[in-house]
Amino acid sequence: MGNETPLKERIRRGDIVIGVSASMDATKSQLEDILGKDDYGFVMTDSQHSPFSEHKMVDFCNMADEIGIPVHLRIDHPRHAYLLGNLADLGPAMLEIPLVEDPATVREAIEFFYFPPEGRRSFVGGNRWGAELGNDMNMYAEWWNNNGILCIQIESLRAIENIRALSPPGVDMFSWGPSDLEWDRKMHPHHPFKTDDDCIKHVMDQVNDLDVRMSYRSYDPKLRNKYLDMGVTVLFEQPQT
Amino acid sequence: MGNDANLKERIRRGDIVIGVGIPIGSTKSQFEDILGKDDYGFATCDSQHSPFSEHMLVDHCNIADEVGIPIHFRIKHTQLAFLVGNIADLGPAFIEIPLVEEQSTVREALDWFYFPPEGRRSWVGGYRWGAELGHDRPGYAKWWNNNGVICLQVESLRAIENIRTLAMPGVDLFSWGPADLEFDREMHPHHPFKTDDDCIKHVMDQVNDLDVRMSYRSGDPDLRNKYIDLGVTVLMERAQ
Repeated sequence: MGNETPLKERIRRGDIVIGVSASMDATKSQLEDILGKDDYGFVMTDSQHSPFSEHKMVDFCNMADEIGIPVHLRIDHPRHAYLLGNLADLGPAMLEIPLVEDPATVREAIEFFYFPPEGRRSFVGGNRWGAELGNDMNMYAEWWNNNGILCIQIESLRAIENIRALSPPGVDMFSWGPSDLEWDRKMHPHHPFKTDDDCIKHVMDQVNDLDVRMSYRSYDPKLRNKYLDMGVTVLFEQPQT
Repeated sequence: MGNDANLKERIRRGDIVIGVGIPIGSTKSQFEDILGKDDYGFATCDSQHSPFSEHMLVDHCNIADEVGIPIHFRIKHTQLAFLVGNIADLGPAFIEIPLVEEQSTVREALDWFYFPPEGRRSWVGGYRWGAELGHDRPGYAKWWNNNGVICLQVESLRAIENIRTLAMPGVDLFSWGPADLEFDREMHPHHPFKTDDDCIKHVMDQVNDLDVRMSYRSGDPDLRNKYIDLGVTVLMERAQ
């Protein structure tokens, strides 16, 4: 378990949290080098656009655990939202679902992300985050439900227009897909949201009375203030050189 | 990126193109030995009937890139057609979906194979074929849409009977599954298509006014002329 146990609470209350990406093939010293460059809250991995191996995921999460940093994983496809519980058994603390548009995907994600009574995640794998808390089923379930972080990636006008329908209790955070969203905007040239910033502002206006927070793949630390000024509180960055 | 960047165009215009099986896990010298035996247009590999690791596919595609041959990859199952974009991020140039029967499968495959506006493949992985072309998103998307090859494997009487509904714009090629098709023919002994050749001839008659081409897992180079004479233009062979 990473030392940063209040990560979900920090995100929920709107603290500024910075995540940094790392390859699942990184060695412990490479990961330490990356994390030594700033005060990061979590480390990001990806299976949507990168090769994925469950065994490598377990090894990576174990290594991150030794260093004390929670692991974020973006799953490969929204159709695999039903696998969130299985993936959580491999060690990540935060799971992100790409390309979400449909409230049914969010319902499915919540169902398999949270243990009963909030969801129906099955108990449980030995490589899970916080496994050292032991095998008290009810206690671990409560701990996971209070600490595991669920993130929904928004990358289309359809998702943005229906953002409140994608914000049921249990969703901690939205993330953003500016590249795929740009394609969608280009395919709808007469849509009122002309820019990425228009879209962010609309989402922020729509959800600012809800508990869900907003993150952005800003990559470059120099862009922090731009997105923080828009109300984003969690930033995903590339490693600093 | 393989040197054979015009593979899709060659297939589309009906050139005879031969692919050769090179299993995932082969070394660079094994690639070179196999490819040195003939003039191959692509190398085939498979996850439908072989173990699959995404990392090994990346490594395989990287070796193929070094020796300049595009990689064909058959996905594990029809119901994973929605993952063709994710798979394309790992490096293959040419993706095949097995056991296709439904028009909805074809629509889904096309949707996730092509970048917008033709489809909705998501941008993007660093191991993609042609990554050295850079991060110009519209430029790469156009390049992929003009170079990535998508192939549907036809292996049942139902697919053959409905072949025109599967031949939607965007589908480059059909491939053939003679073994599974034989099972299906044996289950339908009174069907008018009695032989594999009957089925091929029917498909060729049905699609010869369309852009889609036909391939066959002929295995043996000695069988080339037989299938080429039937109108097949792309052959998938075992290593010699």
